[in-house]
Amino acid sequence: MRRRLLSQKFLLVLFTLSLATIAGISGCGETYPESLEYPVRDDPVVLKSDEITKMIELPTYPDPLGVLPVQKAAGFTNERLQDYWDKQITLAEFYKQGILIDSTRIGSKYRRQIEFLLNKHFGTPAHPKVDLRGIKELSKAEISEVNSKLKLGNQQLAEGSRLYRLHCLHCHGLSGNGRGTTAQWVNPHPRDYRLGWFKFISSDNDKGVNKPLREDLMRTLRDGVEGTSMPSFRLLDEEELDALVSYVIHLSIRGQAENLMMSEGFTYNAKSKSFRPVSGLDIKTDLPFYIGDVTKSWLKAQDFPIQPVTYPYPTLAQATAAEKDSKEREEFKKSVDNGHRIFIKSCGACHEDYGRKAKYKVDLWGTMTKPADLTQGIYRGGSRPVDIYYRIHSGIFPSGMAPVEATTKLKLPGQEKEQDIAIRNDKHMWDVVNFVRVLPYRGMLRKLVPEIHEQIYGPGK
Amino acid sequence: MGKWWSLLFAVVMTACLLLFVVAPFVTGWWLPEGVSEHADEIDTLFYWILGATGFFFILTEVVLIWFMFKYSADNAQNTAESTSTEPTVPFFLKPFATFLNSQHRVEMAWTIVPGLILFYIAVAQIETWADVKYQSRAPQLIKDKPPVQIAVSARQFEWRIRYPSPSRYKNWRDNYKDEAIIADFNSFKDHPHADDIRDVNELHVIKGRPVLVQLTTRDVLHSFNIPVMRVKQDALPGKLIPVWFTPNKHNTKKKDGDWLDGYDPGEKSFGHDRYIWEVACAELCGWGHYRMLARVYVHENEASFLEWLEHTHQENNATQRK
Repeated sequence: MRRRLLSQKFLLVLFTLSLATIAGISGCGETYPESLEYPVRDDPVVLKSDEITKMIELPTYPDPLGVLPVQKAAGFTNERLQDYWDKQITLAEFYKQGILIDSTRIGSKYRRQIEFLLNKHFGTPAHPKVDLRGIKELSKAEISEVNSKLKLGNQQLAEGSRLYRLHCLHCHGLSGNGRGTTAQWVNPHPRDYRLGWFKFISSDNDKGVNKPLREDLMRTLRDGVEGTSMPSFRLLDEEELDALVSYVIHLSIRGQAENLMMSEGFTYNAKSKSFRPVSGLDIKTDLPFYIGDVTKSWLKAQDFPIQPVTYPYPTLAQATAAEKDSKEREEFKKSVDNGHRIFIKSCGACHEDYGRKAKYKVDLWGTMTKPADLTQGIYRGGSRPVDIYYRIHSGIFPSGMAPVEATTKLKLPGQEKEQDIAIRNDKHMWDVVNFVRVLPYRGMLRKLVPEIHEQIYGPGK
Repeated sequence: MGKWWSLLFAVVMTACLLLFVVAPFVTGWWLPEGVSEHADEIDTLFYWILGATGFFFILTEVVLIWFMFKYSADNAQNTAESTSTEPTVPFFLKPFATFLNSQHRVEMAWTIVPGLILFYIAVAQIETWADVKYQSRAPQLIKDKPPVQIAVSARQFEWRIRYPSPSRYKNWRDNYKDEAIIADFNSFKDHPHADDIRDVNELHVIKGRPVLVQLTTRDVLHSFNIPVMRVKQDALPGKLIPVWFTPNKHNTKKKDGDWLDGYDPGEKSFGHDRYIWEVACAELCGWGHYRMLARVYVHENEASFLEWLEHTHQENNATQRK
């Protein structure tokens, strides 16, 4: 009996092997597909997240895994909301109080208009752009500044888009909504750029600006955010990091303009249970206005970095190296002591028990967050003294951290009675910074200021 | 089964063999050049094992393919009843046939001989293993040449690194006999100081000086793996594991105010891929495992290392915008 030389089994094996090889060699393209467009947002727009606290008792635990509470609000049944918020709350209540806007229930005519205009000004993921022609709010000078100060040229944005897809998309999402595939399993959640708020900025809120400087975003990329899932991207080149920062700014301007359009342009009508446009709504003029407004705020922020006051004390290194009763040690010790007193007065309300007993609150993105536990020594915005200075100076507005006040009434050691102590833009800022820096290190605290150590950590080692 | 299946086996096995023959001559396909003191020992062991297993690989595959071809069901004579009671011995086994004249003896042979080889390997590698893993052989504080002690904390998906401050390091170097200083040296691994330097994804060490890495992880299993240094150690949650090696080549030089690796000391120029040495996580730890990389910067001497350390210490303690 003669067998066929090439039996069926043999051919099948050969075929599968070749298929696998071809698939392995070809790989996938690096840029977004040409036809892909940014979708109009379809998740709830969060407006007054602090009002949520008035309506329900906040849980004492962070967001459960797999759930982005505000994002999923649209999909929650009343039962699940009850489980999570511990009280019977309906979505209609959230809408009625103006806390949420269901973006899918804005009329499709308006959604199409918004989509058209956004695509016209911001392009597609494969070909992103920031096209500000026709926006009356911006002068010619400002439009050219967008390229020089914010580096939002087409070339750089295209490169940024390619890198974003490779490195950032799966957490931060296609439109920068912080709702990528990995996002719901990660706590704290990835940044949603569409609110236009960033946490770790060093632009001066005294000058009325609240957007990050380009170098703040670069720092985040270079150092990562310790204590969260955001890793460091230091091994990418400077040019690649620059391109990514540009692309993030592009996503943020686009997202915030869309956000403002929806939140300012529509209100909930309880009778008809729908979202109606406000009177006088004209998307063709309103949306470009918001785009111009947001771009202006980004531009303005670049001109006003915080200028820290000069650090007047011995450094931590000098103080630790110096002898026990030396001038350096004593000065530093005094600074830490002052800083401790100011901390209790100005920061202790939220950073209860130095952060160890801090309570959860709702941030502007509608997720749970809490004031940092400062005894841990992990600083998300950077651990350099100047980074801690920036945090205290500007606060972290979206998370509810207030900037430090200008003065406070306190009696510092060496003073007879309580008096107004200047903190903001004063050397006392560095007192608080020095205290915060030493706080996690019990050995050092015990050596420098044993009474304070006992107050914070109790007697004994 | 057709006898031509043996052809498929022969082709695939020959291709595998050829890969091993060709690989050492293709850039990036073989072991990178070892640049640590113990690299040679490890590579020697590697080649011994490769040789022994390679020999047995060729032997068994040739026998398998030959038997598949010769004794396949296609051959009419193989399906016919055999009338002889003597076992048919292939020609290449005839020299052993007199001694290995029973099934039992054959099985004893192919158990004892590989067993002896494995036993030899087990004994031969003990010294090398001890050198890199026994904690009694970890580098200690000695005169003038303290090990560069670094705390590496792995986390998804980066390597968080902590160095001693320049003054702490100099204390270890200059007062190596002092009991208090020795205690401080030993406490570095689990007592961080406020003044320690914190960095990410950059491991700075000195050529010719032992490096003592105190390895921990902040979340899941990772593995501290430097291929060129022949170093690999799993990082276990909850455990602190010391890892040490001594680089014997440098790849870093200061250029325009920044320290760059990829420097070839022979060519005296930058941009050489062979001199970019990576720490690559070797234990699957999540979606970012493939890009959990750090870079090793080996300084030529202590002066260069200290210069970098001082510079980074000042940056870490910045009180002004740059």
